[in-house]
Amino acid sequence: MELTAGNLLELFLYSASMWWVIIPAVFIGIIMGAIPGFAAHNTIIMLLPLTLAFEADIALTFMVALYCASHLGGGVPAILLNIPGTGGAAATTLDGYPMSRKGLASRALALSFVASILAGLITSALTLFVLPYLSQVGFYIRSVEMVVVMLFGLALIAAIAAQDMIKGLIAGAFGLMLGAMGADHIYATPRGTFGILELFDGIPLVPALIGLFAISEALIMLEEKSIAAGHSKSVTPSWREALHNIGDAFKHWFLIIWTSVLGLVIGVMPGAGASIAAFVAYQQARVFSKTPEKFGTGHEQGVVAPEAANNGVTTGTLVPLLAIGIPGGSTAAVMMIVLQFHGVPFGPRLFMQNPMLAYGVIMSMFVAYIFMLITLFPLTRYLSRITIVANYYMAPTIVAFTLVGAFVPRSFIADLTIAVGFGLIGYVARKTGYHVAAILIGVILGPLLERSFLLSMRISGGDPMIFFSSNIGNVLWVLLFAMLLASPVLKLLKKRRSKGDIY
Amino acid sequence: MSEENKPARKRVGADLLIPVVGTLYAGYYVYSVWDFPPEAQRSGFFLAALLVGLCVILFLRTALLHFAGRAEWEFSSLLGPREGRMGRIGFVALIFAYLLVVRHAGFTLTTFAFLFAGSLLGGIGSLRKAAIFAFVTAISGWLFFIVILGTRFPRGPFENLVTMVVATWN
Amino acid sequence: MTKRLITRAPGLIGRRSFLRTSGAAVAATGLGGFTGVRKAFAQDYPSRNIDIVIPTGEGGGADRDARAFTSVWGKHLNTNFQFGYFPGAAGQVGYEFYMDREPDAYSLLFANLGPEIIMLALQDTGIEVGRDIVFIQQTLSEPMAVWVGPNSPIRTLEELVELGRSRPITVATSRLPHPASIGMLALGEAMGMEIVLVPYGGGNPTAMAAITQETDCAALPVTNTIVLDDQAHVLGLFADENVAPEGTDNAPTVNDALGTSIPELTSSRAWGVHRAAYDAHPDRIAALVESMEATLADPDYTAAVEAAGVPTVFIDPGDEARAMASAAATTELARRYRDLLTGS
Repeated sequence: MELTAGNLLELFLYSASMWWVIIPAVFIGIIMGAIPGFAAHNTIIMLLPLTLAFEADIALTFMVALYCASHLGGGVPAILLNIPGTGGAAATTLDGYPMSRKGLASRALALSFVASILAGLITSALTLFVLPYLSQVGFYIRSVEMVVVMLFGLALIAAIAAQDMIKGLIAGAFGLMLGAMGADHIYATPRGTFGILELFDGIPLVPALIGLFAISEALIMLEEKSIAAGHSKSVTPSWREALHNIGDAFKHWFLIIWTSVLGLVIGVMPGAGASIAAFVAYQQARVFSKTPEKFGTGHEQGVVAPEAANNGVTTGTLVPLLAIGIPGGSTAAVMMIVLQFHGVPFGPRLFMQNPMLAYGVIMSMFVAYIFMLITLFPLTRYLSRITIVANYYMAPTIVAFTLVGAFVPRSFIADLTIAVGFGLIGYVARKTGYHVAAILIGVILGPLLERSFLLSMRISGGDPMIFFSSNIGNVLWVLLFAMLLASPVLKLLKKRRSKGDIY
Repeated sequence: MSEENKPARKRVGADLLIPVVGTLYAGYYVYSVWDFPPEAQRSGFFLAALLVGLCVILFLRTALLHFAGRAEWEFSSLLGPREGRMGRIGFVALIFAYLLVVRHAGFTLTTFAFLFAGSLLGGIGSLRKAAIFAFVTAISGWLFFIVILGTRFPRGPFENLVTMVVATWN
Repeated sequence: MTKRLITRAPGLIGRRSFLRTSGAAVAATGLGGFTGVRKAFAQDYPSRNIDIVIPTGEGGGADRDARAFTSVWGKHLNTNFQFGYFPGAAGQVGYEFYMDREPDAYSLLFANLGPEIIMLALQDTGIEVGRDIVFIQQTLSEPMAVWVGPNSPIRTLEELVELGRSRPITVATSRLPHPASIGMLALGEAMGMEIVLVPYGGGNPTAMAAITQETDCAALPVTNTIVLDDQAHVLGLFADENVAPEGTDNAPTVNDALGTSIPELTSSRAWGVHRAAYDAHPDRIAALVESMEATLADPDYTAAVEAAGVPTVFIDPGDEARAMASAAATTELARRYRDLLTGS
């Protein structure tokens, strides 16, 4: 179907007329996204009785708005507390939290919100126009290509490890080893699980995330009075400063555009998701940055890139669902169930029977991001105060509430223990110079990489040349090696050029 | 810390904990897949070799430092600064107590007790402040997680009592 | 045409009614903690919510079918239903968790009698059908299909076999312990082809593999292909006859097309309960079965199944004896192909 300007306008107005469902959805989404463990799909499942009672287009608008907003919310605790609300925000902690420690929480939040919202607007607008082409991406991405995409994400381990390479690599390998826990992908026999049933399906990501980041952080927090101790004056900006922070964030427009498109493309690949996109975007932003050495110390680009990417994913992840009828991620899967309940088919049939609903989904996203603009000012100005709340309040509250988050996705009591176990691992890791983000990258990407690898090998009958058998795969390999080489080469060049220079 | 101002003696010891745990787990993992079909073993063997290999490099590096007299062995950095150390150890113990108690006492009571004791261990310094904080937070948590969201988090005497009271309204 | 045309089912909430009744809607969902309470005094059983254990992930076929069933079941059994998803180890995780639940007939298992029974037969779970779990009602039953993506050069079963005689055929399946996998192995055996099963761990990724032509074909329960419409071209069915010709490109049965005699391979959805609950609470089981039968006979259920994209010919009510017999037949089949399915 061709989209005309009239069509688009009408779609826009129709979506905007849904303000009464978008506003509460955005509100709920930001809050739930900020609580580790809840994220979009768990929240939607919990609210199913409500969503199922709505008409299909209202339900869909509600879910879409909530989904987008949850990605915006996920960055908030990542920046303020070093606790990513969703896996997609794990990379945001790397520079967001150091900014908070310097009393720049408000500025970091402004960057994160502006990056998220702009990325959402750009990618949803782009998707409206190129949906038929974008949906083709799904047709060309197979296990072989996925292996290379995962390796892009894994490369971040090496980047994080820059300070002490061997320790960084050990952290990553430890994460990968833990990620290999659980039933194998071919015969479904449990491996390395200590016979614990709750681990048969592998390491549950949310409890691992909560343990590594939230619980370990709470233990360390108690060593100090508050997160931004010593910076309490600068923490709450004036309205003018808030405006200024927001304005400054727009200076990163170019980075936002390309990392959001990167997120969009990764989102379209079935099985990839926000965390992979954010890791890859962070790594790429670092490679192409003029100041890669500043990444990890509270660098603005390190907040912008992952946040733009994980919001780019939100649009992308719906593309396989809309175009092919196969959900690309867990949130899309829940959306599919709701629409099936209403008798609305996804996939090509949706475009035949109800093209405006299909495009309407993307337009609802666009409109939801516009509504999120409204939240920008108050959130930027006030949320940063959390960093000056006394830690004797924060630490116990974080533990008590995030443990509920660890429980929610699977409703297993054992997940609380798993979270605490990872909390101790995270604590020891932080105290002894191992990066928890590197461990998490291993835990998240390890099983995905293993699966794609094994499937490819099985298809090829054990011939490793399959990994170089596709054109797209080969292009990705070249890009991967170029990226790995670019870092040291650029460094060398810069060293030569700036001999004698002082920062 | 940057390369230039590296101290003459490097503190080692505590940083061997993660590699040791990793090596032990890698060993266990290999043992657990020993009789499996090759496809289920392959990646485990590869990762175990990678992890153990990296750990061995670190062990060697530490040994070299030790024999060069440049290693300063210590484990106390694990526990953080001396000030408030007992409180923090108590806080960890409290988390374990939470795990044991929560399935019986339910969300609200456990959370209240945890926040009360936790804020005291964290140094809040006033019983009254701790009690008010714990009460308000636990009740808010109950409203949000249990009542509004209806999560299946374990229910205890408090939740059951409320359910009974609500039931009598009908 | 610019309105988003959605057939509005009576009782669904639109904008006006939302603003009018939002309080009630919030109460209905928001007070999740209390939802079981209100109905508590109306009857003895069920006096609280019924927990449904689904041994696969959300958004899969089991989720779809269970939701279609409970959307109507609530009319006949005065309670609410809570879903829990326990994927992992080919269903083993779900079954073991189900067994850990209190055997009081408030926890039900929504089983897939094909793959899960095979899993129980092959994996060391210690769970035995009949001794530990009783399937009290079968709801749907569908045959397995072998199919290809829209751009695949393979258009018929004969072409697949011809190709399979020159090189190994890669087949995307949901998992190895699955009737569709067994069907393909049996087909390979009968026609002298080498079949390489590639387990993608779920219906959705399996379908994607066939559509992208990562594998030569896919073997799945036939509904998956019907839902996909023209993204899937069905080559053949492991059934005695094709009862849903419209959705399946009028595909032949494998036996008709190739002259083989492969047994019918189906996956049937069925409700399971603990044996202990079955023995201790015959009254509750009776209430469950009675309301399930009423649901299956309700035209609303037929409509709900159709709305979910499942052909209504697959509605296949079966009593306990039938469900248990179907489980026993599948166990037998799994034992025959044990070695190929376990890699031993």
